[in-house]
Amino acid sequence: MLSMDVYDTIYAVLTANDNRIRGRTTIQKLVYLSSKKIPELDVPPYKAHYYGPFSPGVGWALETMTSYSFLYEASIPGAQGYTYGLTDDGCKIAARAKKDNIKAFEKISDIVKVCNDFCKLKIPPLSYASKIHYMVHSDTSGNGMSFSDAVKYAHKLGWKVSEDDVEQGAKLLERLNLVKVC
Amino acid sequence: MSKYANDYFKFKSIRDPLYGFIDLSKIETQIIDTPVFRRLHGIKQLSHAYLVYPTALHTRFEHALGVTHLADLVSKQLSFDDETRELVRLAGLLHDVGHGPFSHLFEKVMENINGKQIDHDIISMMLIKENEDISTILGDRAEKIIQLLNHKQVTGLDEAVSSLASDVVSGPLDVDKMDYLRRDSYHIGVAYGQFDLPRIIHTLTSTNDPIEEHICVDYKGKDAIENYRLGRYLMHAQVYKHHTRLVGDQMFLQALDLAVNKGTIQKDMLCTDTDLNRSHEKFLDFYTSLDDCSLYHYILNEPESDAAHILGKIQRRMLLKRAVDSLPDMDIPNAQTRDWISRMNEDGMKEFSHEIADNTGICKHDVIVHSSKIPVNLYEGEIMIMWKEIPSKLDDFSPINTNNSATNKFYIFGPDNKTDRQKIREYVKKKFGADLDIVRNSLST
Repeated sequence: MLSMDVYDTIYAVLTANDNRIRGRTTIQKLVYLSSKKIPELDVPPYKAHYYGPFSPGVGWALETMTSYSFLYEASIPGAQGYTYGLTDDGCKIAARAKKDNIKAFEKISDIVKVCNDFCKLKIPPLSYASKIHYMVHSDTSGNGMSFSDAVKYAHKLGWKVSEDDVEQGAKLLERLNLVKVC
Repeated sequence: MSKYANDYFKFKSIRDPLYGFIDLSKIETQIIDTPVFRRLHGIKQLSHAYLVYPTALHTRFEHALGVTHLADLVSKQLSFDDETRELVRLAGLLHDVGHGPFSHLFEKVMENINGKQIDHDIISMMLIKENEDISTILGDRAEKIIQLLNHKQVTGLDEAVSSLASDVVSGPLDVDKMDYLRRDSYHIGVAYGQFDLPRIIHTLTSTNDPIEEHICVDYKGKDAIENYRLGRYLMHAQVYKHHTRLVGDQMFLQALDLAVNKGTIQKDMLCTDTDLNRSHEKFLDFYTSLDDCSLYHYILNEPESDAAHILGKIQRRMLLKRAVDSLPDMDIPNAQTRDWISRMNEDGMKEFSHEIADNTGICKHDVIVHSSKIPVNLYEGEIMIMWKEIPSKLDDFSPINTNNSATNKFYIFGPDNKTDRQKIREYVKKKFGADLDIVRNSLST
């Protein structure tokens, strides 16, 4: 099975949402969730940053794609952050990448659709889901994790989440078939 | 009675060109006198920047002292108690003790040998834990300093204070960067890295989160932070990513690669891992025997080798020159070509260098492909500004467009011989198609 690199993964995430996404954090989380669902994605590692799983490599790729004019970033009037979108050249490269990786693009499109239906790609639920997935997979006990355990574990990693946040994140992960909530 | 008497942190005072005097405690004085710390005197802060700026010869040693001084000022500003203050100072003093020869450049050598990143930060922690001199002097502070440098909860410190203390030493706005920008500027003789340090320190505060505090700047200090951010960008553009420094560094790495492959530098002596729970005695013994000079000596001891030949050229400043110097987003209209360049990793660049050499008949050591990025945003993470008691991202207030972009430059360096450089340009033009006509002709001189 051929792997797909981080650049093409970002192209796939953007094309799945009409070629643009609000916020680089959203892209970070969507790439994270996609990489956990699709083994053929060759995405740089994520670490527990104080605002959730974060990949410097994904950040680097976003920065490179922007500075090579494949992505544009536009500030959002009256709000915080930036919207990232594909430029005309970015669309050309994305189209070629899609042709080469049609299955991975389709799978990512499904993931983005699930996330969009769940929370309109708002950052907090995506962030809770990523944090919970990260915790469940860092926990070596193999006993599963209750919501209250997750809150405590998050605290150890420097993340502040409530049981409601954990529940919300777990629901999204369940819809993505990434965890099973009992 | 507290062990921290009024003069606890003033056991010794050392002259410094930036701060006048830097006061040290007895423990800190003992640490700087250990051989492993003294070795920092032999490691230039800016590797080959001296090839452009002849006075860029300052070392990691004085930087470490400067960081200790700033760590103290910030600790006082954040009202740390004396124990926290001492830990933050010591972490500042020791944060770079794990640097290898030519500072960050040696991290590339370590990465190539070990097949994964082994940064100086982890080696600093190994030394704090395993170096007999340092661990004896520090006693039970050693483990706490490692926790602090590693952004882990420091035993015995309040959780919220622990995260804040870590931020002081490493984070988007830490004392390391505050010192090196100004120190590098001072030693080089440029003004780009200067910023209003007293204003920043005076306005530093915390996010005041009960669980985890992070460093934050009061809104009044926002403009001083903009100044700091601009200073950092300009230092990268003018100093750290200057093309002559880059080519010196790349030639050095090429020489090291050759020396390691030939066995001049023993690869197995530099093999290690990042597990702090095991001993790295053999590795650390060899690693700490290296500094800028000793590494050159190792290689120059075999004067007939290719590696020695390259280092000799660096010493005589017979550097490769730019055959191609391009801003890809401006100069390369073809999207496919630009995409290919944007994804080129180090192996890809080496491969392309060899391809050019093979097709032009130029010696393969005389062609180096290099891509350089000057970031505009501030490291990982965000600088937080306290606005109406709510910590907010600096970017959200900034009138300066501080987007996620960076300036990328694509270089191909070639021999100091116009004809050969012209051959390189012609090959690249043919390879990339007509669009490389725009590779700047001004460089043909």
